[in-house]
Amino acid sequence: MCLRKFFGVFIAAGLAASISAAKEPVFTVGLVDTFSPDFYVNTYSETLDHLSEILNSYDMKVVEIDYRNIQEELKRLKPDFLVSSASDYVALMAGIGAQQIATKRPVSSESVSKTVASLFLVLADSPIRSLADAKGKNVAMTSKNSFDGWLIALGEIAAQNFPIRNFFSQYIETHYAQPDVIAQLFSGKADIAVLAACEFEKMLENGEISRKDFRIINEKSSGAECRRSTERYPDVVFSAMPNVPSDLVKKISVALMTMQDPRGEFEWTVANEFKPTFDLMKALSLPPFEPQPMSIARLWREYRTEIVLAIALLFALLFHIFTVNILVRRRTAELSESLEETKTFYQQVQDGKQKLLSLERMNVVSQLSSMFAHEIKQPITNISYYLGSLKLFLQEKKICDELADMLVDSIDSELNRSTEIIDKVRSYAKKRSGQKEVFDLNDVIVEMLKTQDDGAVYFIPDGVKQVNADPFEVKFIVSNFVKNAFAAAHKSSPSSVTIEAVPDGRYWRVNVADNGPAIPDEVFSNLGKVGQSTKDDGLGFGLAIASGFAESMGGHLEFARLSPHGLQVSLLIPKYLKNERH
Amino acid sequence: MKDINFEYLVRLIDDDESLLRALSIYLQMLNIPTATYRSASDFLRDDPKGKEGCVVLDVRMPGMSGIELFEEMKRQKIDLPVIFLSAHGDIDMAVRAVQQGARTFLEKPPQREKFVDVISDAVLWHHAFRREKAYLIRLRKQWDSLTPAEKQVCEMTVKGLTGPRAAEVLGIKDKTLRAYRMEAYSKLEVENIAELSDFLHEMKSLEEKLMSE
Repeated sequence: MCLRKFFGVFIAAGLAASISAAKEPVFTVGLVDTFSPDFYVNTYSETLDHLSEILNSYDMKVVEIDYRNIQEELKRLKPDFLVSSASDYVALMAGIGAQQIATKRPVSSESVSKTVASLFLVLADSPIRSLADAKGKNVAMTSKNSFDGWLIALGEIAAQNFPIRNFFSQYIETHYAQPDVIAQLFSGKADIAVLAACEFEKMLENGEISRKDFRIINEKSSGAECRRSTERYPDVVFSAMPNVPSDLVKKISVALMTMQDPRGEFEWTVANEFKPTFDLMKALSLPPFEPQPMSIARLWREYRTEIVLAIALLFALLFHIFTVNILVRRRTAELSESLEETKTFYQQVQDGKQKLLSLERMNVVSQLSSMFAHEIKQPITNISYYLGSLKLFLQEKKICDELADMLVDSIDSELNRSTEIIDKVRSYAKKRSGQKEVFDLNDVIVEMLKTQDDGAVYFIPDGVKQVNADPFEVKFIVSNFVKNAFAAAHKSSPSSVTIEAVPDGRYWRVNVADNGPAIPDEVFSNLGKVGQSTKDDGLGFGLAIASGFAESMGGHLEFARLSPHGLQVSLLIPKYLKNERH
Repeated sequence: MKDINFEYLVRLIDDDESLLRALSIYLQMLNIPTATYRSASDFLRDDPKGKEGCVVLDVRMPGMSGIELFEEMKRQKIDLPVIFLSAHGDIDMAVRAVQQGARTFLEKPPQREKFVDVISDAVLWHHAFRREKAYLIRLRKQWDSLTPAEKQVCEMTVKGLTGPRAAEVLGIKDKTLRAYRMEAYSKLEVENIAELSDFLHEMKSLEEKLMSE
């Protein structure tokens, strides 16, 4: 009878459409079909019959919404009201804004918000004792889209913190046909079956199965209600779309609330607790919580702040890398430049040192021979003049003796020979001709100090001190002073060497002082003479050569003992006067 | 030794005492009066510089060197001729010293005969120099006793400007001019234009000569 009625609705709708111009207004009811066929017969057609009866001034249209593509179907078919499971309802509520106007309450349900549930069923002899045991087994269910026939069961698995994806190894859907889920269990294809609550009781009632053949897994039911393995959720929801006139909504609501099920099995009332359903959908990642395909627009919409931050961070990072790079490049350049400068400086120092050394060597040879000549010529001169005196003496005493004359002449000729030998020896050493130029004494001293590395020397140049001399010779002299000073000062602790350049009449005076040991009179009076070294390893040429240089530049050296000990050696160089001829 | 019949003194300056002794003994044997000094400062302090003669100077000495002493002497207007002795044969130094007025530069050991010749030449030169200098001073003194007007008249006269022409140029009377000339002749101890000309010529050439030495 019900089926007839149901089709009658369709026929009536078709008739209504044909005469729609006369019958106003129209409303459309859509069904999202995830239910068992029982629902059509026992609930849906009864409800539609009732509505069409109550709202007879309206033309009621009925459309079916494909559950796989609800959004598109809603746009296409534009229903005013929807009939759907609680799970689909919460998705629509959050999405397009559908609003519940009534929820089905079977009379067996104590609370409209806690009506439907799922049941895990195994054969009595199954080794599965808990949901954990069911992992990796094969499962049978009527439809994966069924709220109470599958989704609620799956939610329970999620609630027990199992991963729902591939929890079972095989999923067998029976699609409300034979062999049904019970048959799948018996045949052994499925190890566990999922049923909507109360279906088990219905089958028992119909005598289709025997209670003793089965066991319920994860049972949560108690008392007189249907046996279940999960929490309970609202049943079918009748909802209104947001654009429907409130007047019509009110009329439909009233119609539903006042509807009397002819068989007294259910009523339409209002459910006031959808949050568990929301939570379930969330746990299952289903609409409205399904992971949506990623699109740039969505990404931008949902992660705008993060994207902006990330881009800003990226730019900051790039900027940082860029500036660091520039900085590194600049620092590297600076570093290599300063390295080059240091290298050049050391090269110059080395060159200067080398030059001074070779100059010293060259001049040691030259000055050595020169000094040798000087020193040996002194006694030769004396002998020559004593001989001359002797000759005069002999003449004066009227001693005319051939032998005496011969002896005197022989000595004379030997003296001449000695002189010639000395001159010859000396000519071997090429004399370096001094290159005179006008320069600032300070500069040469500072430059000279670069080449000495014995320790700290304090020299504070003060004012220009022009001289006209060979800078190398000045460097040689001062560096000789400093070297000697350090050799002496190292015998004292703390050792100290100071250098100063000060005016002294028509001279510039360069003083180099040390705090070395006290110098005995004998050593002091011979300072600067050949072969008189105060150093243990010295030959005593340094100061003698320095003395020679000083004289060639029109100056001289001076020595002074310091109190309580130490020595001051001074170089005196004539000041350069602008009108001097060079 | 050439005949020298005037009082003089040969100064020997060297830091080497033995050399001073050898040289001075030899020179004294030849009756050449000597004085020896062991340093430049000894010489500057103790020497009777008014006495004619010469200086024999060692180039290399501790403290003030020979070259420095020579320059100091020039600064102090000590006119004694200087004979350098050097054991170094430093040509540069010799050339420079001679350029700056040193009389001779001898290498050690100087040949005895040559040494004595050089010394006597220097002493004679110095004697002549001092004499000429004294003569010049006398001439200069005479000349400076003239008034500016008298000097002008004398210079005009020597140039050949005489009588009224000269008076005209000087803007004075001819009589006055003649009076000036008479007075100048008397002061300069000359009697005619020729002698006046000699006087001025002698004074100027001596001035030039002594200046260059």
